[in-house]
Amino acid sequence: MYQHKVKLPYLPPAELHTPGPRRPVVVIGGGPVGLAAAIDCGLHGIPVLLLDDDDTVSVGSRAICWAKRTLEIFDRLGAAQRMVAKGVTWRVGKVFHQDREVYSFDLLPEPGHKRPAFINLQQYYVEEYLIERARQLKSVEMRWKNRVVGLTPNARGVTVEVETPDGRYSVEADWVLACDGARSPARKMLGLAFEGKVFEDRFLIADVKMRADFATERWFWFDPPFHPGQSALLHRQADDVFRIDLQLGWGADPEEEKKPERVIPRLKAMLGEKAKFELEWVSVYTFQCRRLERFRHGRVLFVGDSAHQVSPFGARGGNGGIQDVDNLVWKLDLVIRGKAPEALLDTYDEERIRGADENILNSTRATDFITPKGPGAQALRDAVLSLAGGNDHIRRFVNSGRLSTPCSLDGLSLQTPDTDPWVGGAGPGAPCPDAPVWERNGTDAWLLDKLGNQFVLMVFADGPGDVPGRTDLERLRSHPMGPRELVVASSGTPFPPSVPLVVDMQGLARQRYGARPGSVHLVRPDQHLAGRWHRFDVGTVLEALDRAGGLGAARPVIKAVEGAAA
Amino acid sequence: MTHDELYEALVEMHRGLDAQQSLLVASRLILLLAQHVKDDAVIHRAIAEARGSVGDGGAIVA
Repeated sequence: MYQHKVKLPYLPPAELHTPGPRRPVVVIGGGPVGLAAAIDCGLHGIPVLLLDDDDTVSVGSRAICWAKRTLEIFDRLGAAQRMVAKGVTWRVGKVFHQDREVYSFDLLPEPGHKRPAFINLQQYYVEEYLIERARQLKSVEMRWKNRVVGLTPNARGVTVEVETPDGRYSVEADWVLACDGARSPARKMLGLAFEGKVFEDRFLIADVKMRADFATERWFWFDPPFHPGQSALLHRQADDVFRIDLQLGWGADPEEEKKPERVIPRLKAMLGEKAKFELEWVSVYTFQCRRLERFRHGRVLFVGDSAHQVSPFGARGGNGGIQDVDNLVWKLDLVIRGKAPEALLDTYDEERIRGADENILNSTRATDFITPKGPGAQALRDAVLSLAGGNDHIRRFVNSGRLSTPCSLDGLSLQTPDTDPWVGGAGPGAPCPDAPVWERNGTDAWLLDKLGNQFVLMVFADGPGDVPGRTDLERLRSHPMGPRELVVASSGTPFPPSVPLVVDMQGLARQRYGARPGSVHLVRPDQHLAGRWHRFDVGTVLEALDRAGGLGAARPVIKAVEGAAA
Repeated sequence: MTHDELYEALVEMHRGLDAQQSLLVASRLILLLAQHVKDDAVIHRAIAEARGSVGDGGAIVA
């Protein structure tokens, strides 16, 4: 059994003896979601205390597939580079039925994006790199072997009871982020129902270390010769470790199936009698799709698996959780700083419940295809597979998992709908597409890296005449959301050195945003688009900023004075 | 309707039925859909393709 021994230090907290300070934010859980949340708070300068009941990174086989959007978020958090370097990059998936390939897909068919469609990397590496990133941030404090055993909401916040090897203490928190996983003790402490659908099937998950020259692709089989009547999955991770997933059926005995004398013959049937491999991890799972009715409960916010759980087909668990963090922390920052009303946090519910439902829908459909329920559904599934090889239309019904794509927030309350006619390009609510750009000095860069984690007004320009005037930009900056501007120029030459700009040398940014010279795009701190216009109007953008910050219609919008622009 | 939506609707149609009931319901669906196909050749081609080698002793489906 593989042991990834990263021992995390436990120190007896001072609060065991003397009461400590009030904490603006307490994060429960040091998995990828909790760590990302703590880092994001740290980047906003919010003092954050992370409590985790263990003193190691995750053991065994858990999340492995990290999607492009997640890597872009990890880039914003300053942690993606090591993951991509260590992980295995892939974008092609193949689906086999019996002994034939019936379907293949390419998840990133176009060049000009910094991050690949997916990397595979064991969760323990992701956690290790996030912990190292969090340690660089002064306002992040992490405590291991600190188990949260009580949550008591009160008028000002939440009293958090913590148990350590040296006894108990309590902390007063303004906000609690419950990132404590699918079995979330926090959810139970608040007595919240977590209901949904259990799939009556069992899957053997084995992580196997071996030297093998299988392509770095996701391979999925229905009814393969080596595992008749069931499905199988093979997927490479870092360090020559392969994830193997074998469907066993509902009747399988989970305890028996975990034993090496049962597992090894199954793997040999798949990999060949002579294959040399070591078992790193084996477990037997049953999958569920369910969520909390609401993710915000006063000053306790549920993030990641504690809020929603999906089956793994589609890699929507971990990736969904990181998108939760991305959506929540900038809002929390604005609320803590008094720049936005608490009600802004209700849009975390609105926006991420949409994401969770999309993930639950897709992973439920995939699981229903992989595990048909009843003879009619079984016949339908078998009919699809038997026709898929020769028929492009039927092939598109094959579902071995619809892989995680970012959720669009289009039409939800923080976004300003289009009023201008647009031809293509990312619209309100969409995550910002990446594009290769140059710095002013000609250095290669990526557009997303230039957006950071605050509001940005992206201005597409051929020359200085396309850029809003100084007075208008100052009015925008003095708004509570205080956007800075970034000019996306077709060439750097005409602009004075004081203008922050990147050069869209291939025109890909302009194409991916559907922009023309003079178009402006308002970008939220989570790099989703809040609105876009072909012609800048300061009043319109101020209104959109009010909406994006949850300030509602209460703020009077003052129209720009004609000719006031510099 | 996307492929996934259509598939889901068909699975839903079979929910809670035994094999005989599902066969009946699927057959009714074929008849109801066939009345919208105006070209006889399309129906004949689909019948031939659907039958394929099913029943010829080959392992078409598990």
